[in-house]
Amino acid sequence: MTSAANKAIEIAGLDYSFGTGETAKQVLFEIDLSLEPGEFAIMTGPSGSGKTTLLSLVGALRRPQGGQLNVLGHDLNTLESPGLESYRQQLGFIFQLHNLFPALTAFQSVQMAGDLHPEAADQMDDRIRALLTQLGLGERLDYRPHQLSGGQRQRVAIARALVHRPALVLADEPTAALDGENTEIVLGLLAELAHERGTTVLMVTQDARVFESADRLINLVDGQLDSDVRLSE
Amino acid sequence: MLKLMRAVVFSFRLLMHERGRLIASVGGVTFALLLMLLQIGFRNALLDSAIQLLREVDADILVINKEKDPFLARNRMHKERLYQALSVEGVESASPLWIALEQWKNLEEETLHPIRVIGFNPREPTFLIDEVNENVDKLNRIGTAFLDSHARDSYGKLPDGIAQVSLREIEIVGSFPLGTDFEVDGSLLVSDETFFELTRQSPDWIEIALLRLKPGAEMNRVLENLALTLPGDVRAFSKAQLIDRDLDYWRTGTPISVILLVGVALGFAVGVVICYQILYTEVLDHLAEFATLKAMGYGDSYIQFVVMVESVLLSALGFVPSLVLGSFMLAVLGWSSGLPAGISLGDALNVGLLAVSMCTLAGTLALRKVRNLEPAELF
Ligand SMILES: Nc1ncnc2c1ncn2[C@@H]1O[C@H](COP(=O)(O)OP(=O)(O)O)[C@@H](O)[C@H]1O
Ligand SMILES: [Mg+2]
Repeated sequence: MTSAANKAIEIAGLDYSFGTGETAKQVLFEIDLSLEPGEFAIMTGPSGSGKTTLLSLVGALRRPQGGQLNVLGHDLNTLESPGLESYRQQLGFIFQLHNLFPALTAFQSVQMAGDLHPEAADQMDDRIRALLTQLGLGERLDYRPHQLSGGQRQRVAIARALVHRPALVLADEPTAALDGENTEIVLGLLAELAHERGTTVLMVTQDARVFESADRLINLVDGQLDSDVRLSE
Repeated sequence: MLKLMRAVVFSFRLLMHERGRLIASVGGVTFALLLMLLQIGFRNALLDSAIQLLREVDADILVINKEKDPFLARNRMHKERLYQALSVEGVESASPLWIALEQWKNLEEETLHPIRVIGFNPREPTFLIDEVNENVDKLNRIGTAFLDSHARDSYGKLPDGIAQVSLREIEIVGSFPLGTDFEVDGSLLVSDETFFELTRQSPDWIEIALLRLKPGAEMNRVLENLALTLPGDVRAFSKAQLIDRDLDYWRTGTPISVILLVGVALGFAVGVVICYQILYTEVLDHLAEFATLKAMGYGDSYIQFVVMVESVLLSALGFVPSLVLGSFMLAVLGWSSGLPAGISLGDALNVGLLAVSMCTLAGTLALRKVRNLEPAELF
């Protein structure tokens, strides 16, 4: 095993540009970053600094163009289908937009994630119910997105990203649409996953309320790592 | 297996969600399938009506003028041929049929309409129609006829059972079911004596010789012997051969039948377009959601499967009402026109297959949109 296999995330010299040729625009420059399993890291930075792009690279939604990118023991520079799909199944991705199918109830939306994990099939329904209840949606299991508020939809999407107990959670401003109380609940949930289950969490946020839950504070400015601070308890 | 079931349930949920769109979609698919069903029904009616008379004659073998193609064309032959055929080994009996077109006068509207007059010898077996065989004695009196009960209304009602055909009075003493075809709106059945008097045709020139085989005689042997014995101006066919030859003629040789096939193709094309429109919109409206599925670890094949299941469900939902409506409309048409319009189980199955291929083709086209779907474009 290489040393990268012991880290949850191992990034070295990562570059990324949108477009090609003269219109190419580089948005990430020589990023070096590694996260231990069970670490709860928060990434901040001004809008347009490349946070979402970095998350999408770690989530294997984009292919790296230069540098090394190893996540959960997979070399993302070379990962192909079907390994790509099974890698993505180990992640929990919370997007800025909830992207829920209007046809599916809260329960069914979360079930779509659970269905990818047949090994846990016999307990999945209970888990979905418990998780949605924990997120304050116990009374709304059978509601469709149009019957839910923005914050409630976001919480359904969060449950969908967590129900299969992913090894790595990538969250892009997950609390932006939530009030104080629900922000507390979601952060508690993520901290619990990190500290009790060893889940690695990489969360983008501008929300100063959440900094205290984190182990690491990473700041990205203009596509470059500006600071990387380990917070002590 | 469970995974497939889940995927089917998911497709079903997607399809059922937007009721308004679903109803419009199913309506569109139904419309396209209905077009196809009606075309097939018309085509069947055309084919069926063309061979009705042929079906109802009591014959194993028919001898006809070699130019007679299709069967409803009029080409006579000398009666001598009938006697020659009768002399061939294995032939038990032979009876002649005379056919002419005459003018029937609609007495209500004072208008003339062509009618087919079929003459036969009432003392010999000629038809397989019970109504004819049970009452055949009534035709012995000259000047009497049976009128086609499936004939179109154009012949009008008869106040006292006396018809005017080609300026002569004919008493209608019974009826038989035959029906409309592409030449006439109906037929009149008369004895040979009445036929000669009504049409002034010579008894020596007959339209068809109907042959029946001796018990145990072998069809192919008899046909071979007939071919050897009979002069080249006539040909002998088994009844089944002649039916096949006629169906073939109408299926391939006639523009109307081709037009109806084009109609089916058109229905198919309309269906593909409608189906494509629906599935494409469906995919496009949920592009971000499908991309999210990919980001979660669903493969392209899963999304393709879901859309294909949607397309098959759509075709099934459109098929049922189109079958009900189509059968009903063809029944009404058959009842009002005298054409035996209808669809067989095989036709229904064919349209079912067309429905599925129509929708899956549309689904495949619609899927080109998600084939290269990049989940990263979500952000
Ligand atoms: N699909 C894209 N095509 C071209 N440029 C993009 C695309 N997505 C993002 N960018 C650009 O890349 C830069 C970084 O964007 P992003 O990673 O979304 O930043 P952040 O999430 O920190 O706001 C921005 O300047 C943005 O305009
Ligand atoms: Mg962003």
